[in-house]
Amino acid sequence: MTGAPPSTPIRYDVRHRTDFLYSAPVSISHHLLHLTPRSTPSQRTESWRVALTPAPAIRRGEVDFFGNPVEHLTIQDEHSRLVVQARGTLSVTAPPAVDPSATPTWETARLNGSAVTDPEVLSAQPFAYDSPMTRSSEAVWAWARESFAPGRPVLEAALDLNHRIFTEFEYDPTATTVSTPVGEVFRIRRGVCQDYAHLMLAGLRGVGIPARYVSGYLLTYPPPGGEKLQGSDASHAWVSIRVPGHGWVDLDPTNDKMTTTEHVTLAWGRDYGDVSPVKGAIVGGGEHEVKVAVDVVPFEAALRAAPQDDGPQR
Amino acid sequence: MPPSAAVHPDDPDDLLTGYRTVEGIYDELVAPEGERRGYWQGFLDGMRMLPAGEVAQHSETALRLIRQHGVTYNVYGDPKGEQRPWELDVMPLLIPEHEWQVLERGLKQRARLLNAILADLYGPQTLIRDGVLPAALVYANPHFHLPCHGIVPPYETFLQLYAADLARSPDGRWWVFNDRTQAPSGAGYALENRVITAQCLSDLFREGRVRRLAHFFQALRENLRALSGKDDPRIVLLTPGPLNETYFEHAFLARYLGYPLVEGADLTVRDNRVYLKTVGGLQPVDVILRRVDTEWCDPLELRPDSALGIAGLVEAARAGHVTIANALGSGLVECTALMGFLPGLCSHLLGEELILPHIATWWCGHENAREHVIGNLDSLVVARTFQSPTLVSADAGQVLGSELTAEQRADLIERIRQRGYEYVGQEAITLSTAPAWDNGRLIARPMALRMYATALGDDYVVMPGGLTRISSSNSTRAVTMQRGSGSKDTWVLSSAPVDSFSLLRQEETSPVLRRAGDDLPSRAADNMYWLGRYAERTENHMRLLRSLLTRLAEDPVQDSSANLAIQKLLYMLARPGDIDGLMRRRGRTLSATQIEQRVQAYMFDPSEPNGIPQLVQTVNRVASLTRDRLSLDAWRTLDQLHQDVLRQRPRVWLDIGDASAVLNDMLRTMSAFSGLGMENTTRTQGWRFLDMGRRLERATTMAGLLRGLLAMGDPEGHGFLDRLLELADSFMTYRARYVSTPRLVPVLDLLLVDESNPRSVAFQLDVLEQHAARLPRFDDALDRSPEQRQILSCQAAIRLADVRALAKADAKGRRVDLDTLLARVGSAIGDLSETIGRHYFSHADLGRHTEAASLRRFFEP
Repeated sequence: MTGAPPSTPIRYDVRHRTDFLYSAPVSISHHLLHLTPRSTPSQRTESWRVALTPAPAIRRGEVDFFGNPVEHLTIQDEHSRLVVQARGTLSVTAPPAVDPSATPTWETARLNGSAVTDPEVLSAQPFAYDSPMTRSSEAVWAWARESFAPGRPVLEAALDLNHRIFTEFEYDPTATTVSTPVGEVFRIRRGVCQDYAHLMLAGLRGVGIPARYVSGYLLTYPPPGGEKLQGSDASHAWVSIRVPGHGWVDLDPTNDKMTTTEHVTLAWGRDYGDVSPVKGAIVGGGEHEVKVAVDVVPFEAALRAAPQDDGPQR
Repeated sequence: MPPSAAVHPDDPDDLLTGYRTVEGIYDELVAPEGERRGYWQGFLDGMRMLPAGEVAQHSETALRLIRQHGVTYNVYGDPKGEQRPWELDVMPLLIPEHEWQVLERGLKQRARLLNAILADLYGPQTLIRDGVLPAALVYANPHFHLPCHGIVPPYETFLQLYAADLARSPDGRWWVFNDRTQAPSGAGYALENRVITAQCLSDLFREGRVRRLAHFFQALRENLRALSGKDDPRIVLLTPGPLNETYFEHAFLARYLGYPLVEGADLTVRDNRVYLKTVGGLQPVDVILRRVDTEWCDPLELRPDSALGIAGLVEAARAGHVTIANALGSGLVECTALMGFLPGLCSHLLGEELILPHIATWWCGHENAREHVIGNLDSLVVARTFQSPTLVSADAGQVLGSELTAEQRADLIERIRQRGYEYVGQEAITLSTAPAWDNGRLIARPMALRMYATALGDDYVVMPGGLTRISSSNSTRAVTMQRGSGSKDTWVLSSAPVDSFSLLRQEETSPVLRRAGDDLPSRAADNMYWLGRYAERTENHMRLLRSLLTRLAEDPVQDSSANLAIQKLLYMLARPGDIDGLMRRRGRTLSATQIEQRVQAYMFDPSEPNGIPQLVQTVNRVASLTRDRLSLDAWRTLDQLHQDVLRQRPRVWLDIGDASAVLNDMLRTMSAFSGLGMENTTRTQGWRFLDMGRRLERATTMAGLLRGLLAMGDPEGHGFLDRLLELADSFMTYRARYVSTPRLVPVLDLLLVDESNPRSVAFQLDVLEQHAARLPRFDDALDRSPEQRQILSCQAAIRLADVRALAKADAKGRRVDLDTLLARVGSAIGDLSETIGRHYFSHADLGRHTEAASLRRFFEP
């Protein structure tokens, strides 16, 4: 790692509450939670707790294939409502600064599929190929390749792709669902953070550059002069690419920037399917409704002042 | 086929007259010099000894047996969803002992090797870390399922069942061209082929020292039992359902091995354990023999859109509470690109030389291999690395380089250069030929052999036989077996006498005695119950229509009283029950033409909701859902009826004689089905639900008929009593008791309250009461169950009824008490059906109807 010395850590109080309301009683439900933040070089968890109502009959925590904390649980009491509450305190430092023009060429950042034994390269292998939610098409790959002129530094090229997604696609929470395929997102040119991240992953992997999906939270700001509303922050997603010599560098295509201390990481995987915060399969239940409320509250009062731009999207 | 072909022999009476082999292609029967291969001699001599006409008949016999056994496969993407009869050529493939020994050793080694690879890739992954295997073959492979990483199956055995496809090259060597590790199919078809071929060629089979297949299946069973660590575990066969291409095989194997055939919806996970939802409650499951591909097995951790799986299954496997065969994720090593790495892996993991060669394979993820494939495109087959062909369909995304246009070629090369790891080049295989019957003579057909191995202890047992498939085309360059190709039995010859042990006839030496248990899956009970109801409803409709036709033939429609009877019967077809009310509301009487049109529609119109075609269709559909529980004869009977009905077309004019003949045939078939249900079905819980459905439907219909025809007016005068006795098949009984023409009181007695008449309402209730007493209970209470109470209250009302009083009409000709009683019986029976459904078809433990209890999934947005 290179770059400036780490910035002053910023401490956050994070609350993430999810309510599931069922029109008919659920007799049994199985869940998989990726709701506890993993430790990263720039993020440390001070305390964290996940509470469920009703209480699960079976609950087991472990670390998944990618090193994320995960919980398996089964609720066997009949219920019409499930509340999942995660809450804790953590501190984030700014990721080390990287000069994009000084990174290696994108060609050297590619993985060509051959057998390798370098542990650093090996650890990037799971993120180098299409995963279930990033399978796309030649059209997407060709479109992404426009950012990758021969010999261009890999981070510069990736930031260009990041920027193109931000400018060519419209942020539209009504256009897609959690399972909209990348090809469809590409066609309609709309979506939310999850779609932007999947599209970027499809493009990067299409040219052979390992990249992972990062699930987390984003600090948001109230409109100028307004009060910040409770629960108005949100789950967020962005991507992380492997830059030889610099490790993993996080880019946020939804906001056209590299990540900052405003990004809180929960987990990473190949795509949303690996790290969905609350996954579940239920028996019964009829129709269901989901409400999500996220609060990311900095302890430092100085941050309450709003920045001058329109504020981030998620 | 190349022009140079050898014709064998000169003797015009010989079996092999006109048998042509292809130069440069290995023929299983005839060597290049024109000599038969020695190990065929005994078989050919035996064939010659058969009476002249018999040889020609074998193919027909086989075809008949296939139809009788109901051997079918489904074709995915077939718009008609049709089941096709399995194709079998009775001429077996012979394999001599010395060749077999090599194949057997080779297959065992391959199974051990692939198992060791799986254990590493789903565990420490040292093969990737040490650079023995490229990471892309794992991480780019959609059959590598991350949630399965870290799950260690019992004895570290991932592959309980393994299959390999082999072809023989011109030099006579066997080559592997496919590995099947996900959920190998075809072993059941191989067994069925054996059963039929051995029957057709019984003498030859007995004398030919042919190794038997039963030991293999016994080993499979013993292995699965041992995996559970229990003496008497509950093992189920998990199928995707009747639409799967090899569903016949799933049902056949389940029956043969003695395991319940279940779908995902039959199972549930609680406390990290798998349970079978049965009419007797939740029963723990120890081992799942799965025919569902991994990705569909658990909507929570694998494909979220799967309706075929069981939520929580992966976690149950992780907890070690259930053994899944093959282990989840085993499809990973089916990938053909892996073949190129097997010799190295074999010496690395097992310290052995690979025994069986495989077709030359170049994975384009490696630069050298990529350039080789691009440089030799014309002589190679290029396939997508991670696609697998299925048992009977052809398209595996393969292309032969030499068949590409210049443009396609350039495009393919570009794609290989961009994403080499997604492509694999393989040498085009040349199949050997084997003799097959074709219009009474033998011809050489391209063939491939699928072999099977099952784990046992720390080694594998190989099936001494296999599924030989022959191509319908003459091309020996077959990439895969094409649609419409056939199959053969495979005879492994033995120099020593063979043991004729058979699982089909014989149980294990000390079998655990089992009687009808409570482990009938709730879903199967539901299907059996509705099969009973629909079969009875269909039969009732047929009787009503026949009665109508008789009326139309005897009485001129203009006669008002006859017309009234006809119209009542017609309305009865639409909605039994309050016929008089219905007729009053409709107001007008039907003309003769309208009546004939209605009868036509009920008989022949596939769009008529209460017509025979739709009813028969429904019976067939429900029967196919529970086919593994019906006797072969019962299934065939229903299938025959379905075929007959499909053949019928609406006539321009209703020909009463013709229509009656058609109906009589159908009724005979339906009666045969009912008879088989009574006589040939074990009194299992399944049968009980079938019979309850039938009784319940019959009671409802009879109560409806009595109400519709007798609740008002002058039934004696209108001849309704004759109709009723005819519909209830009770004329003979009535005549034996009463000399007079039918009168209301004795008819009511006979059809409503007489518990000795098998068509009366009281009789149905009596049988239902007996069934209800034998249903599993969910409480320990000794008093009557809710079902028994409901039946009893109905029985009491009928027993207490005074038939003479019921028969009295008031001044307006209405029999109010009779109408009230029958209406009450009708609604009580409806309630009873609800209760049975709530208790036994939904899951008792969940207390909800199956439809409402369907699996749902969600993600947080």
